[in-house]
Order: sequence, then structure tokens, then C-alpha cells
Amino acid sequence: MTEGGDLVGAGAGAEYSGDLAQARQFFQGRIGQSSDFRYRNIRLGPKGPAAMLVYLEGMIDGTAVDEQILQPAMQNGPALVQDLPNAARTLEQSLTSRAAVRRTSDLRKAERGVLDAQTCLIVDGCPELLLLGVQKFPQRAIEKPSTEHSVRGSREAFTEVLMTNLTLVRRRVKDPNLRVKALQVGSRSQTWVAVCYIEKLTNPAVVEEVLRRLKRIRIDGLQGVQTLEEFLVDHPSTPFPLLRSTERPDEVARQLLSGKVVILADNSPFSLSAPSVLLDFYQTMDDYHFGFWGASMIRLVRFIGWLLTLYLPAVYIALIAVNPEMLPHKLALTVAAAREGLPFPPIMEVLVIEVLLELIREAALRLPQPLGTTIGVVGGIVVGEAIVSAGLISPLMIIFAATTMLASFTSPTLDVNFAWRLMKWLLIALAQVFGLMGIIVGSVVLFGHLAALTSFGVPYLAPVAPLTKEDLGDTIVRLPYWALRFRPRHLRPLDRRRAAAYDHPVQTPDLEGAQREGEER
Amino acid sequence: MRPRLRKGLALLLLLTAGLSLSGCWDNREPQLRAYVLGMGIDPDPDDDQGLILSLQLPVPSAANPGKPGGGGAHGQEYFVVQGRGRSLATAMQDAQDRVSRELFFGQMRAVVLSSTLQPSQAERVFTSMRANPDVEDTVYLAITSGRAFDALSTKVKLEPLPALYFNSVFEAVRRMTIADPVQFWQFWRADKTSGWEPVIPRVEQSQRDSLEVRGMGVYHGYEFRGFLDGEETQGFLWLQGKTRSRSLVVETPSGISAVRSLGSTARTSIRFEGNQPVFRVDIALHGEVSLPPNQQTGGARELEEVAQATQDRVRDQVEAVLTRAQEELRADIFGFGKRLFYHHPRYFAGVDWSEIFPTVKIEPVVKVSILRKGAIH
Repeated sequence: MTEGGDLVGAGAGAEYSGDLAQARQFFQGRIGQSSDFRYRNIRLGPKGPAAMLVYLEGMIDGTAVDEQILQPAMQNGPALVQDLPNAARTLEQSLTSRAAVRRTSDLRKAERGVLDAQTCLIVDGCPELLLLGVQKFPQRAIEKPSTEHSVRGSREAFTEVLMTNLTLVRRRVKDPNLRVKALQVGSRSQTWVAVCYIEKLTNPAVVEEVLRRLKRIRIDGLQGVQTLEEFLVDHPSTPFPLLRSTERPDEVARQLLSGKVVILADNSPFSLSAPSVLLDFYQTMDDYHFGFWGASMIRLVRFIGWLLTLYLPAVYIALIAVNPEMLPHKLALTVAAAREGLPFPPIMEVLVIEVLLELIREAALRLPQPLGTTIGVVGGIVVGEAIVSAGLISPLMIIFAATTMLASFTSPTLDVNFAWRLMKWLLIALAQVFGLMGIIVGSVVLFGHLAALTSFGVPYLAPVAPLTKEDLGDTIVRLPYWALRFRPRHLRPLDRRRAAAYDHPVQTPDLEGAQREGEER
Repeated sequence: MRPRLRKGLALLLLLTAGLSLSGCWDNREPQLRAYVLGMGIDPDPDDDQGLILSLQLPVPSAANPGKPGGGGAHGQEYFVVQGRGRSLATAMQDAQDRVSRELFFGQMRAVVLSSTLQPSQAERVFTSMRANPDVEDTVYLAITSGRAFDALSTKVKLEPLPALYFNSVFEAVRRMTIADPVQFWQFWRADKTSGWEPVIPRVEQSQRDSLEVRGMGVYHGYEFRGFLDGEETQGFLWLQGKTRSRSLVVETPSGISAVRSLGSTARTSIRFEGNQPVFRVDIALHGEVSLPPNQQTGGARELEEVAQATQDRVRDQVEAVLTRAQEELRADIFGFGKRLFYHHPRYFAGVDWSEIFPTVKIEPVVKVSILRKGAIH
């Protein structure tokens, strides 16, 4: 793992003497073994020096190399011969390309550069090599977010290319204080990871800690930004996500502006933001694109969805199997009638139907889109209906299971959804054994665990526990923008104020007067 | 041992210990239980200390109208099973022997007592009910002069199950019933409070297929003292400040009129005359004229007359119940003694309240205000 000030970094190693044959031997002995490795011997103009281009096929922009590098180099050929030891410096100054150019005399650094899609230009007799950043590789266009839909928000999602993603963020935050610290993680994959934050706003302790933890990672390769998450979190064994991930650049911009650190990684269309509290996972961009009444209503719906996901199956079991005296008497009779003749106890019903639903969910996810819908219909309606008519499961259970499933989809982020679904099973087990009392005890333990969690030192349940009344304006409800004047206190930002006080109501314009005046003129 | 491991082990041990608790493994699914919705208690004619328990059990598949074949088309919605024993527990056991599924009292809605129960029998019943964890404190009580078994076996109209009849009647508090719903805990509270005797609404089988809730049964301790009739019960409700949306028909010089009460309050104050406490109850009733005495005029004078007549009528009802409770039943169902105990505990401790209650002076003061002439559509 190495750290560089910019994204054209390199490593450390073998010294280059200026002998082209040495360089050729070096490269051929190492990456030269691969079939996509290319080197070309050229002469820089009829009277120019011999040179060599080293690159990996498919990773560079050939046209740019020809037009912006080779052509000017050839024109400068005779001048280069005059002062061969300084040829690299002369070339660096004379190249018309806007690509990043770097000089190095370290062959290993050059090799790293070539692997990072740079082109290496070696002039015979010059002890320095030139690394030219004219990357061009196949990449996906910017598409719509696939996991975080928004009705009125931006339609852009991150791609796999780190530079593109950084551009998407920059376009939204044009603050000169926006800092990007890049470093490479993964001894073999050498994946670029960018840590973004706004200086003089984000708490520097968080930035330092993020960088410190990133530098400590010793791993061969990075599968994506989620791999980092498992290394970075304060509590590695909790099922709850401690870093909010998103594929939306507008969401990232919002996180940055609220004083968080955002981590982007090459080859990953997702980002992580630190510190993240539980309620962050329930905030989506749509909450800020609708009026605050609408947004608050959506948030309440999500809250109800969360309650149902976690508690509905457990409460069903507790009330049916353990504490039927808590049911209203008419419902008790209805339940008894619906369950008359069923072969399985309620716990088996719940297990069967929940496992079935998880299967359908997973199957629908893996299959191609059109087939996925079919699976939903076949699994949900056909199997559900059949299982009820066969008298294996009561129709009530289908209602509860379907409601739980629907409710679980209201959580805007997948990772928190997984955590709650896992906890649901814990509560189901407790409900089966201890009834309502088990659910209560389970909840106490669960919330105790949540209260003990921290994300980069910020309590996971903030701003609810510990309570910060001033920050409650953007939690279960969302107050209007003009009322959200301060950044969340629990993030301890250096610049607390988000907006200046805004006086309502604004003056009503004198339409009639202006019209009269205009007509008279 | 590492603290984390120790914590994990402790948690595991706690959970395992929890599993061994009784009550965790005797769960019964709803379709494996027999829900007791109503319970009737009669004295056993063959054993002067014995009880006959009648339990009303619904047949879920037939009693549930949502199920195909429900609603009674395919069979009986409920049946009544009986058990005998000298205590409630043995009678329940006896009844259990006749039912295939486990009897479950957690959904019981009503308990009907026979007025012919001996005080010792009633005491055993109430104490056992109190001790049974399945019996909810919110179960409704009713008393009948006939057999409790008959009240529970009567197939009532509108309700699929007789026990639900009690539930519907008592939960619609503002309906026009002359009775006050009493839950088990309220009976228990009145019974255990000094200077307060419990009452239970009276239910009778009026015809072969209908029940009627009218009047209250009065207890003194566990001894049944008698029934209040409709007028007396209405007087009792006025004294309790409980309003029912009930119309009073009164006769005035201008004709017959009806007044619907909209709300009433009763405030009791105590003063002493010599060494004797005197209770004054201020009953304020406001109502509307639902039938004016004279359709054409209906002026202020007529309203005045109606208010006066209503006042007299209410006072008659209140005096009737006071006289009955003091002279005949000798039971302080109004809680005057309790009030005396709260305000003058030392005096209360020095007297035998049940002895002096019949002679205590109680002054009801009734004030009726007619708010409007009623809504004419």
C-alpha cells in the first residue's frame, strides 16, 4: 500500500542508468511476460535519439499518444540529442499534451505507472523516464442509480471509474476546501482509494482516523468499497452497518456538506461516509426534494415499515402461541377458526413462509429482470395461494408475511435492511419461547447493543441517544430548510452554521404598482 | 478467561436457564385450546356447599362468520359444558374432563352469578377467580335471579354467542341500558374498600331467545341483599354522576314531555350535625327537550315547567334508591362511607358504618337545566 499526493503515484525500487537495453531487459523480465504488454522502439525524428514506448494494450489512448506526445517529441528530436541527460526534462516542457507527465529514474515506479494505465517513454541515454497519463479504457456511461431511486432527485449514479466519480462530486461541491487524499490499497490489486472531505468544516480527527485505518489495511486485493467497510468500522462484529454507502453523488455532496468524510474506491460504484449514525440510513435524497410535510410523512412511513419488519412476525407468534389472552376476543376466535385443522404450529408456519419469501427474494434478484418478475408472481401468488388451499399454512400468516416483506422494502438502504431482517429472527426465536416478554427483553438487549455502537466515535443512536434536541429537526421528521440552520452536533464539525437566519415572510411584490408604472411609461 | 468470552458464556447460561422456566414449553396453539367466553355459577341443588359451573365454549369454525361454512349453517356455534365441585378449581377440573381441548380462561368476557349463591359460596368463587392467573380482571360480571346456566345457554339475536351479548351491552357505555357495567376488579375494589358495597348488573332471560340487562344486584360483602329495579337503578346512576343518553318522560300542566339527559354530575359533601354526619349530594343535570309539551307554543314558561317536572322526577328516583338501600338492603352501594373514611378517618374508625348507614341523613339536591328544545330536523 502506498500513499501519493495525487492519483499518478508510484512505488520505489530499481535505479535506471539511461541504457535502453537495461530498461527493456527489466520490463521483459517482469510485466513483459504478459501478452497485453507492448513496447515499441522508435526514433524521435530522423536525427533524434532512439527511444522506447512501454504500455499495456487497451489501457491507453493511442491517438493522444501519437498526436500529443510522439509528434511533438519527434519535432524536438534534434534538440534532445544536444543534451541527452536532460532529454526527459526538455520533453516534459515541450509536450503539448494536457496529460499528467512525471519524471522518474526508478524502473519499479515506471512499472507501477504502466500497470496503472500510464505510458512510459524512455529516451536512450537519458537516465530519467517519462510517465504520461494518457489512460483510456472501456468504461460504463453514467447511468441512473439502481438501488437508490429518487423521484425528483438527480438521475446520476457513480460508475466504476474513480476519476469520473470524483468529477461528479466536484461538480456538486465547488468549494476550494474540498480535499481529496488518494492512496492505494491492496498489495496486488493496487486499488486507488480517495478520501474526500471539506477542510475547515469536517472534524480533522475523523479525517486522520480514516486515513490511519486505511493505511493499516494489509490485503491483497480490494473487491470494492464494502471490503473497506469491514476494516474501517469501530465494531467489526456487529450486524449493523456503521458506514453509510451510497451510489448517488448528490447524496455524497450532502454528506460532505454536513461534515462527513467520504471514501471512494476505484472499480466501485459506491461510496462510504464516516461517521454514520443509524438515522443516516433512513435519510434519502427524496426527503430533500419534497416539501418538508411530504418528506416528514415519507420518513414516518419508513419508521412504521421498520417497526413492522422487526416486530410483526415476532408479535404474531407471541400472541398466537404464547399469549393468546392478549388478543381481542373476536380476533382470538378468528385466529382459532383460521388455524383449525392446520398441521403446523405457528413457529413452523413463520419459518416456512419466511424462508420461502427469502428464497423468492434471492431468486428474483439473481435471475434476469424479466424472469425476476415471473418468479415474484409464481412464488408469491401461486405458491402462497397453493400453500393456503392445501391447508398447510393459515391465510393470516400469508397476510403477516407479505406485510413484513413489504415493510422491509421501505428501508432506503440495503445494508440496514439486512441487519433488521437478521434481528427479526432473533425476536422470532425469543417470542416463541418467552412470548411478549421475550420480545421486550430482546428489544432491550437490541437497543442496548445499538446504544453501545459508535461510528468513528459518534454514538450510533445520535441524536436521539444521547439526545440533542437541536438535531432532531432532521430525523423522524424533516423541518424546512430554513429551520435546519446548524450542522449535526454529533459530527462535531468545525463550522457549525449551515444557513443564515432567514426572515419570514418576505415582502410581497407590488404587482399592480409595477404594472401601472410600466404602462404609463 | 477473557472478559468477552466470559460475557458470552454468561449470556448463554442465562438463556439456557430461561428455557428451563415453566411456562415456556406449555404453550398451546389457539386451535388446541377451548376458549371459555362466558362462565355461569349456580349453587348445586344436591350439595348445599357445591357449585355448578357452566362454561360457554364457542366452536371456532362455526362461530366465525369469516370462514366458509361459518355463521351456524353447519352446526352449533357454541355449547355449554358443566362442571361440579365445591370450589371453582374442582368444578373447572370437572368441566375439563368433559372437553377434549384445554380450557382457556384468558378470553373470558362475562361471568354470570346466580343470586341464590350462599355468601360462603360466593366468597369461594371470587377468591378463586382472583387467584386464577388466566382470569382477566376486566371480565364483566352479571347476576341473575334464575339459573346462570340459562343465561349462558340463551341463543341471543345479533350475537353469535351469548357471552358476546354481555360484551356488546357493557362496552357500549352510552347506550340506553339501565345498568352500570361492573368488571371483576371494580367489584373487588368496592368489596375491599371500607364503606362501599359492590353492585352487579342484573341480567334476566326475558323470553326464550332474548336476554335483558336491567337493574342491579346489591351485595353486602359476599351476601346478596336484593335487586334494584329500573327506577332505583336510574336513581343510583344519578347519585354516581353517571349519565346515560336516556329520555325521561315527565308530565307538565301543558302536556306530556320528554327530556333527554346530555350530562350530569353529582358532588357529595359532608357536614356534621351534632355528632351525626350529613351527606349532601348536588346533582346537576342538563338535558334537552326531545318532545316539547306543546308543539305550537314551546315557550320559556313551558320549558320552565318541564325543567321543574324533570327535577321532581329525578329527585323521586334518587330518593327511591336511597330509601331502598338504607332501609331494606342496608348496604352503602354509593360509597358514602368511603367518602367519610377519606375525609374523617378518625370518626369513621369509631363507628360501625354498616350499623349507622341506614340511619344517616342524606340530602339530595337536584338541579335540572334545559339547554335547548332539541334538534328539530
